[in-house]
Amino acid sequence: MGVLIIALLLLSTEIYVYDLGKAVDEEKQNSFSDFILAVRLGSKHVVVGSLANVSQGGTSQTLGINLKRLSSFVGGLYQSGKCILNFTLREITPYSSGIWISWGTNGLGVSGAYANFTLQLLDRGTDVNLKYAINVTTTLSIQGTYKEMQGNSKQVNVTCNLLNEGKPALAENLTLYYKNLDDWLTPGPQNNYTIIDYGNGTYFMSFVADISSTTVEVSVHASDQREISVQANATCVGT
Amino acid sequence: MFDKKGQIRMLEAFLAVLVIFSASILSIKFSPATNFESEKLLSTSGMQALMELDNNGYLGKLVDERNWTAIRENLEVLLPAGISYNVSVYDDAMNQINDFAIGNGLKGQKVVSVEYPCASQSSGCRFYLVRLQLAFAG
Repeated sequence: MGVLIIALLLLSTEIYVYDLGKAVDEEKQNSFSDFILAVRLGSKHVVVGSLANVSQGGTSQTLGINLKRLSSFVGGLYQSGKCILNFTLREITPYSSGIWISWGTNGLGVSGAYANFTLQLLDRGTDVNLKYAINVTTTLSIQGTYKEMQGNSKQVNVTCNLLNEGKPALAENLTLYYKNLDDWLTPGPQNNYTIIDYGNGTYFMSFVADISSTTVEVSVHASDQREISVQANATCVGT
Repeated sequence: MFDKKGQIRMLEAFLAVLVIFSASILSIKFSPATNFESEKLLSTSGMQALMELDNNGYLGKLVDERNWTAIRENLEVLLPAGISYNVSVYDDAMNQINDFAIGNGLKGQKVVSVEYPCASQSSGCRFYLVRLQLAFAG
């Protein structure tokens, strides 16, 4: 009888220890998923920051260099196991070294970056593999119209749309230029320059200027709130 | 005589079992399992607050600017009431860079530590480790 009771006690102790073990495993899973989410968010920030750098005149190698630094930083952080973050930069046209900069004359400008990642976390008895892609794109589209007034004077209207990953985004800076002879000029108060911010990534700009040529070319230089710069050029349509 | 000895041994064994059994009941009642729950709650709250703050790269920006006051003010809003916390920020060489305490004075018996790797979204792309220590105050 005594032996039976002691055996039962030992059994209950084992069950208790097993339950504690389960709790520890659950805690480990939580820290895994938290770490993975943080690394994923960090990857996105690095891609955004690198694209901001390249769009402001930095070299196209910046993205690769920064992601290597991230990989090394993250690899040294995970102390209870091993963390390996690998990446590949998209090389499919129009991307080169993961970067796509296209500031065309057709009214569309794109600044984009794309990288694929594999994150491997190795811990005691646990092996987590995760694949994900980060795609960051800032798009600016512009349409312009003009109306001839007296002499060379023209009333020019330009509408801009700024998008982040295809969704409307607000601009941090927005500058409009127009071409007169071979010079790019910015309209000022003397040109009755007005800008309307619709608050949804759409901006309407209007000005009056003496433009001697028969075509009116405009250029908009913008940067979004992530500091990614983008430009678009267009030829205005006469109305 | 033999029967009496046997009875005493049985009594001893019974008492021993009683002692062990009551000890295990007490240990289960005050087991760390409940602590695991509170630790989990603390670490989840901490991680969620940091991720929320870093969602658009804001945390990295504040660290870039060494704006410790803004980090504290944001965490005050994002963390649930009744949690005391302390934040330490390290650069990529693991040197602590916050020169003044960020937190509301860490108090509590059980302290949970959450480590958050933070990449700044600035064009210079800097890396930081944000260590958030949390405890239930009082």
